[in-house]
Amino acid sequence: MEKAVAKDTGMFRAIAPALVIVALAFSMVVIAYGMESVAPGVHDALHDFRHVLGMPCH
Amino acid sequence: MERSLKQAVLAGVTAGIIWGWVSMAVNSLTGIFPFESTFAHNLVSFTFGGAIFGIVAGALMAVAGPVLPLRRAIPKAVLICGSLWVILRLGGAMLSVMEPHRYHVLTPETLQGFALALVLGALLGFTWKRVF
Repeated sequence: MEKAVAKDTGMFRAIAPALVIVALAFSMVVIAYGMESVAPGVHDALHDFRHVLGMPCH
Repeated sequence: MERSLKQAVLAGVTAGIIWGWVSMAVNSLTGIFPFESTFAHNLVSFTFGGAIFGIVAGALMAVAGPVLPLRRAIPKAVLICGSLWVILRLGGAMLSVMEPHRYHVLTPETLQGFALALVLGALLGFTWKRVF
């Protein structure tokens, strides 16, 4: 059982960085399009940033 | 020059934060988009946004860099950041087509954004080579 737990922990440690990067990539998309439905407040918080980056906005 | 994911993230976050500040400065000089928020608010949002974009660009550089047909770090990073921006912009164009009243396309902002994406690539290439 200890071996099985150790194996799972090792796998998680290998996958965790990739999962964090995927989550950050998703955050980047949310920021780029100001997706209020995903993160309320993101549109106003990063409004100027999005315009300076050339992303379409209102 | 291959890097671990940790080194790539460090190079990316450094380049991204500097890029956020450079973006603020460039837009202040060009005046293409008149800032609507305060300087303090924008300093935080551009630092945060730049860090997120930089980390993603750094991770892409670690994953896709070795397979690109370019040898030097700066051209690779410029290609990756330029491509990333184009993909995001194409998504934005689709949103604009679907919701034209909500998403407006402005050519000067688009051109400035693309130029700044290339600047992020140059900064990432520099931090990739020199800092870590």
